[in-house]
Amino acid sequence: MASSDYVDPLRSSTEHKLNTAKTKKEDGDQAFKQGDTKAALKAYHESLMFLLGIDKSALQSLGLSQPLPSASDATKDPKTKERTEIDEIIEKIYANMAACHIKNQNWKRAVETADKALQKNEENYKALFRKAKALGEQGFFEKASKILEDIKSKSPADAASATTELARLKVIDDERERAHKQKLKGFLNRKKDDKATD
Amino acid sequence: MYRHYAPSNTSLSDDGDDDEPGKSTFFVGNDSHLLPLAPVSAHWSSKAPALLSPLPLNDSPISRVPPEILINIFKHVNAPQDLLFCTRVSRLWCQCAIELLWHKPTFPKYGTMVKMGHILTQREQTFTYARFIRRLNLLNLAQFLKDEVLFHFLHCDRLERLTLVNCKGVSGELLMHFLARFENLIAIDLTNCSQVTNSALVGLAHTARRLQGINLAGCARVTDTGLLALAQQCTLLRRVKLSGVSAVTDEAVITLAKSCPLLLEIDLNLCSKVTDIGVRSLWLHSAHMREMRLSHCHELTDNAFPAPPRIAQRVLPDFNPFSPANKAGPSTSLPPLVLDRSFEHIRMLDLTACARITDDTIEGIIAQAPKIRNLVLSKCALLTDRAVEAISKLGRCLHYLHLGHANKITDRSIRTLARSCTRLRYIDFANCTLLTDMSVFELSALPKLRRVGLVRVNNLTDEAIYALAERHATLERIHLSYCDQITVMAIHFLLQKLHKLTHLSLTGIPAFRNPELQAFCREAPQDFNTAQRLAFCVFSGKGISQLRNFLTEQFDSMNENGTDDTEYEDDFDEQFIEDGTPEPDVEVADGDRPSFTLSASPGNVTVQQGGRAGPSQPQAHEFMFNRDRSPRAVTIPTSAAAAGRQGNNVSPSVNILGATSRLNAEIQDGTAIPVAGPSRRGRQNMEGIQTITDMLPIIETPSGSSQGQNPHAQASMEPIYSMNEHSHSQRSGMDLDTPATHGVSLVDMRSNTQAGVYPRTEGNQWNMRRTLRDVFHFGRNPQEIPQPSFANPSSGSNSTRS
Amino acid sequence: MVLLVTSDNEQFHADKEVVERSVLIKNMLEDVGESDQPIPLPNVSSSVLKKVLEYCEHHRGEPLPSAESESNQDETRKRTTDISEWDQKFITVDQEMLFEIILAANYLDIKSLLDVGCKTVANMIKGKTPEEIRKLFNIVNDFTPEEEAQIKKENEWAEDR
Repeated sequence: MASSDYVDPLRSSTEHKLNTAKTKKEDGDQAFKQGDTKAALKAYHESLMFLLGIDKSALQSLGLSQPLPSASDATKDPKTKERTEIDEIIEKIYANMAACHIKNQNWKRAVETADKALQKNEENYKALFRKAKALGEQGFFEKASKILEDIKSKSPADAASATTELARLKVIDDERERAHKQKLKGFLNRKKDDKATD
Repeated sequence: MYRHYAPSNTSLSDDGDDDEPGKSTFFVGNDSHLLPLAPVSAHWSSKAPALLSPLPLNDSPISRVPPEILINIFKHVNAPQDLLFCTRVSRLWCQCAIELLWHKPTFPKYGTMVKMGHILTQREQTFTYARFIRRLNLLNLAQFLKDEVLFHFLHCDRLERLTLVNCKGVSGELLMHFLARFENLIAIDLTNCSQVTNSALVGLAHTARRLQGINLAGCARVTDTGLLALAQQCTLLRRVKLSGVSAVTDEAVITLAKSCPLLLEIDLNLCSKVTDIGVRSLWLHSAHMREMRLSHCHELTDNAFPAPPRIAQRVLPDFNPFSPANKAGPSTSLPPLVLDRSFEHIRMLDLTACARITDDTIEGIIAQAPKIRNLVLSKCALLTDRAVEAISKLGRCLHYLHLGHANKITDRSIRTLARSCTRLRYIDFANCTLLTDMSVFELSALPKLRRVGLVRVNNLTDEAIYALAERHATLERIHLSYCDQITVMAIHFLLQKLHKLTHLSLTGIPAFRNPELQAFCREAPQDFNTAQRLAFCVFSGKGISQLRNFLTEQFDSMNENGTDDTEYEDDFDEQFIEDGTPEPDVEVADGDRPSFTLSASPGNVTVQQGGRAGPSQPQAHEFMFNRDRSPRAVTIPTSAAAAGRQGNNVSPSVNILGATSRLNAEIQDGTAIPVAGPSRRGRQNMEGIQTITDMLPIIETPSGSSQGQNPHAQASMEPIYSMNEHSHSQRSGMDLDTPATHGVSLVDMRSNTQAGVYPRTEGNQWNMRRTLRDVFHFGRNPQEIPQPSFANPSSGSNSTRS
Repeated sequence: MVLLVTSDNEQFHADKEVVERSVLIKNMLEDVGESDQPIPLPNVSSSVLKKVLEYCEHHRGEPLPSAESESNQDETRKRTTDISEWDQKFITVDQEMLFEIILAANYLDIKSLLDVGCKTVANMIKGKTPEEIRKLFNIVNDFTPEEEAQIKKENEWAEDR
């Protein structure tokens, strides 16, 4: 492989893509700070168009990223996953997109994007928290509280917000439960039944 | 994903499964919620490679494919051998394929598992293999499995699915350690692991908090103690099978129902300590229930189930459990179970041998669970037509129905059922002794019918068999044991028509108590006694085709050797001449007793066998093979059971081969002349003389007739006629509106249209060839079969063809 | 109509229904709505996108894999050699294009197309020895002899029949 002929255009195009993506991400971050979630989402999506599917081997061969998976075998600490700079940006973008969707109350997409961020880094507690919140809002109280409990035990920094969210969800859930019971009681003589069955 | 914080992140199982929003919380099957592998390639364990060749920068297209796609490709490479070769291609390929290779190892022999066990415990491993194993199915090795090998698998701490079915050789102590290891466990099958103790379950429950399915069938040492731990700690449980865990009480069931809200399948078969109270809690708390198995929970009464609408409605406005209007009588203290929601998810309900339940249970259940697909109500002997009418409301949802031993049900409700539940595939009415051919006519109209169980529905005649032959496109399994009127000829016909048939049980049918026919049947079960073995007659798989071929051969050869019978008027069966049909000339002697009486009751036709009513009445029909050089009488137990029970005068050991070859010889001989057969009494004297007719016609058939005045309907159902006459077989009774069920024997299928006519007309020459021809003919289109017009005194009043 | 721009700056117009077989694009359109501005696809070349759009056009209107089926994946994967006739014809391309399509399907998140591609490669692998596989795909054996021997030994069990 005539490396000089082959690599140069690839390097420049890959570098170019990475830079474009970074710019677009920053645009997105700005827009989000200004409360323009739609513009933020657009910028994030476009950034992803550049980042996803980028030829990583080209990056790696150019020393633009950390080593290839196959070269990572010497890693003594298995916790250090081979991650490229690209992976990190993607993770951040998805986590931010989740925040946008939460702001828009688009819970379904919030969970989807949070999951994408978690795919890149399962210990992204921000994304995890957003996922839990979006789940809770959709009524998946059990799943949400499990995640929040998890955050509490694993990430002291996020424990406080997790506790607050947990309490908030519990209030919502209790209310719902109460309404349901009420309905049940109104519908039939439930007390008697309970007594009989328990 | 967020749940995995194992020290290595090499290959976290991505079980986003549980956490995906917008996804159903439930899974169709145990296997549907598999945890896909994360698209992350494996890590080499501690030892760094000595040499790392520089990354080959080549232009091969595959080099651009990232590891996650490579893994995706390898997921489509299923054969272990192929995967193994992938691991040997390059380091990258090895990393991507190795975990898949270990993900769900299969052990073709015990040695393989032993070998793997050694690798798992080696110090220097290229990869930490134990962590790759997610599923372990040791069913194949169950009989060999010992502690010392299973011990090596203790390190497989990421196990998600474990099957230890029948692993009886594993000690309780090891199980206690082993089962407490797997925090990722999703499903575990401990069926018949007899050493499983409560303490092992406590350990399991404590670790495997994400457990969704457990099967403890036959774990006799398990009691409420273990189950309570499971119920309380594994709150995600969906499928719990406790079949035969006989110590289970209501307490465990109630706790399961209350603390595992996702419960969708429960199996309490044979848990006879469970009572109404336990089962009620399932109805009250398990809103997602899909499958409930409660067979042999003998304690259960109507109170375990939702009250039928009319009672529920009465209760609702002003409920008073002590009101006399309340159906729950003084014997029960439980009020009617009134539910405010329907159980749309229930697909399967098994109440086999819950013998105390009545029609009320069925009405209540159907009202709450309108989409039941599979309903098993065998041995619920109190059920009547009212239950079947309720079941009919399931309509097209119902695919499987078992009503064995519901011996109160009649043709009337079966008719409603068959016309409402048109998607029925499997039905069983074993021992529903009131049912007649009418029911089978209705059932055989079910377009998807694949299996039908009619064991010991003694009223059935060959007519029913011919009706079943209509379902040739779908029928696969037919159970007719102890339907003692069935003849060999009918079965021959059935086999000709049903090419999808894989199972046919004919145990206890006298006509099949014949070594030559039984030669093709399955081995009798080990625990059968001699008598049972003699009667055993179940054909399956290859046996079916062997039987089919054998019968075809026999009948063909009869035909080849036969002479054409010209006495037979035939304008409608020419097209079957090429079919090759036998033509034994047989004369049947006049009988002197009616075999059946029949009575029509409004709405349905009940046919009774006179012979049953009066045991003194002889039950058999005699035939005589009229070309026999020395006249032979043939005896066929007509109401077979009765005849058979009477003793050895009816010999069940009919030798079809012998009979047919004799027959053939005789036909060739050509000297035979029609002779009147002996009367029944004569037949008894001639015991042991058997011919083809033994296995062919069973003449006795219930013959219902609107023409009660028709003397033969009552009196002379014992047809004694020449075999030749039987070419005219007739399918009767297809129309339910005709109150006459015509008794039709195989041979007299057509002739019998005027029951009793032929029997009296001695000397009629009937032709076996015709018989077969006709059989086939009307099998294709019964309605078009012309009715034979025999100059017969009473034929004018025939009604059977209506 | 949606406007797409490839890495080599070629523009493609396609029906929304067609391009939405790409979950990547579908999500974007869902989140930010349609606009006249082209969607940049800097990691697909025009020759590949043409092929991909041909696939999407043929399969337009078919249900997208749901989250539910996602979890069933493993099972459906088991019966995999099945590729529909049209797909089979579609994917009969040289190795270069085959892997380009796979990469594009992965990038654009078109699961069914990715599966077709992966199945095709899997079928190429089946029944071949390691050496044959290396030759087929031009792969260099970068194992050390010791490594190779040890891995072979550790996985010997998989050869049992």
